[in-house]
Amino acid sequence: MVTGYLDNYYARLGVPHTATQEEIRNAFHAAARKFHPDANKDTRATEIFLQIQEAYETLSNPAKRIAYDEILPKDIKTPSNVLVNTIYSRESLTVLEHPQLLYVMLNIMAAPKAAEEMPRRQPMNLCLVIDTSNSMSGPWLNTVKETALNIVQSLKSGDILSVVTFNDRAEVIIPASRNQNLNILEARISLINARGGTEIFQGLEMGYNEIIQNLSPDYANHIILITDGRTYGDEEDALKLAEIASDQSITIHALGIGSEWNDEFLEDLASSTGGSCEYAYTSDGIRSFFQRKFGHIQNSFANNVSLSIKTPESVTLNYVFRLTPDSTSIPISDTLFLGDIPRVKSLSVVLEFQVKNTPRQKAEFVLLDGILNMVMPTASIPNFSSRLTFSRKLEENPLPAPPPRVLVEALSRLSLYRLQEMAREDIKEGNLDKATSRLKNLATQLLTSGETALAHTVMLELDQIRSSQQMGPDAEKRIKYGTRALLVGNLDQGP
Amino acid sequence: MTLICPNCKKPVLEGAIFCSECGTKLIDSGGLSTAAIQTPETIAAADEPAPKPAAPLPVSSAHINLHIIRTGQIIPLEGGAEFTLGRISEGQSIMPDIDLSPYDAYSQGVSRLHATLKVRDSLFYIEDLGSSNGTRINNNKITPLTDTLIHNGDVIALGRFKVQALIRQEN
Repeated sequence: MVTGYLDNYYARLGVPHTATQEEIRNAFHAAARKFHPDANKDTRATEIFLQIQEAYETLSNPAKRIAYDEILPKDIKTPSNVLVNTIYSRESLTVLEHPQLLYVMLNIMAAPKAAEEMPRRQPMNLCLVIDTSNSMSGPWLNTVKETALNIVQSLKSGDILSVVTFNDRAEVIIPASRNQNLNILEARISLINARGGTEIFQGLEMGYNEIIQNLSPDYANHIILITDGRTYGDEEDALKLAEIASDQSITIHALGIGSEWNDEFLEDLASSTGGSCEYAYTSDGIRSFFQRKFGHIQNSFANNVSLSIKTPESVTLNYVFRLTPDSTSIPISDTLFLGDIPRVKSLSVVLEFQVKNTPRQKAEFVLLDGILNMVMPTASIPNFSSRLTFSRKLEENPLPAPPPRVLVEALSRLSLYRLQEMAREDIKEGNLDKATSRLKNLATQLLTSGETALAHTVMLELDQIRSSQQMGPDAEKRIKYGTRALLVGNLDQGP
Repeated sequence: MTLICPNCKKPVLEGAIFCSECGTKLIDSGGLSTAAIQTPETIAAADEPAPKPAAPLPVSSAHINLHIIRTGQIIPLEGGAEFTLGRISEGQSIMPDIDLSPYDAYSQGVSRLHATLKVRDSLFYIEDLGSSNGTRINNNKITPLTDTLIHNGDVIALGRFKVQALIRQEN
């Protein structure tokens, strides 16, 4: 199953080929804390741990490491098919005793030649995990089935598809395999019916088990979870499984339908693997979600891009948001899961750093010391790592200069999404006055930028908050995904 | 040196580009915003073509729109320095500039001549004209027949008729 997949010791530890012994040791200790059988009872975690241990035994021994390097193909040592470009909000940091902010836009894209040489489309190892609880019955489930049938019809010979349904219990409707009989697939999908409740973990685990049967870097490995309900009590299990999936380069995407699902849980689940969570409440919304998702999965150049980060004590990474493809906020941890690099356009991420204070002497200040990892299906060794550092000059009195326009434009849209995000945090902390004042400001900003319908939803919600101390489940999602859609310009406007 | 958001007056950190409290743009990126002090240097530094030097800025470089909260409609106010808000009814000798009766103003307690909106040096003020039900800004009753400054996003209640002020500063 997993063996043979992470076939490069450097990638197993998530360090570049040029890593120092100390970096290798640190990476091993970090991984061990997460996957050691004492820390993680999951048998899948143990399996990952054993592989990491094997890699460490070789790389931590200089003689063994030299011998291992000899047999490694060249392209892991000299990667040239990915372009990384960083745009900073300012030329230099100010020498300051008090906190200051710095924004960085990170764009990662395929080198033009590399993209051209790539086969037209990556084969996929895809599992659809479909909620078939009672509440899904009717147009929603019909549309999901219809789109699943479309997917079946568009499969190419190398693709692997599996379909899992879940309600109170999960069931494999279509087991993972290649070149399946189309008529049988269609019949099985058309027989899907709705009944019972929503238990997401069961469905997700069964989907995961289908995916790992064919887990390989030659495929784009994705799980798409479709649900309209809340799961109770198994969120933690599901999030743990997502963590393991992301370490095995499996991406989970989620679509929430209607207003009753838990968007915070599904966001965490998807974004912790580099995927994203989206929202639909009409059949058209469901269709367009599938269309976009498939477009992205089939047209990706490199998958499962992650950035392991180290920041100095005086620097805090406040916020990370992916602009393209599939905008989403990205959870902050030692490793940022950034998603896929599309073949055309770029993977673009904005990071907000807060610098508590700066040293007086240094001329150069390192904000982040990172290692970028990704999987490139076309390379002879698909796992690739390289070093990535963010740093700025320090100056006593830097000349004021406007930040790059592209960064300002991205942040102007992002600031609206963040206002709603912070208002929800305020409500959770019981800070209703703060929340309403933020939402009022959000409505004002939306109106000034011509988004009257969305502004109106926000204004109406202010009264709702005053009377019930919380936001309505529907408005909450409309505002969140409405402001997020402004970043990309697609939105299910609904009835 | 502490930096303050020009709109909501909350402190912001150095290097911030948008206010995290109210979403107002804090920097001057090409073009010029009223938040910045205009000097020949900043005009030259801006990467957009500088405004034509021959055309002096008009006295008013700000626009105000009124957003009717209950219905979501927007009333743009243009081409004047003063607008009287009220409602038109039969046998009335002095008419308001902006007639709010189509928006159900009567049942919301708007007087015939309720208040006047004024613009001076790009700032907006409202004066209650001694209306029967009074005028409130963000729920605070204002003194009649006195100019009270209004800010972008303020909710103005004429009686129970609520509008939000949307102010846009332009050059």
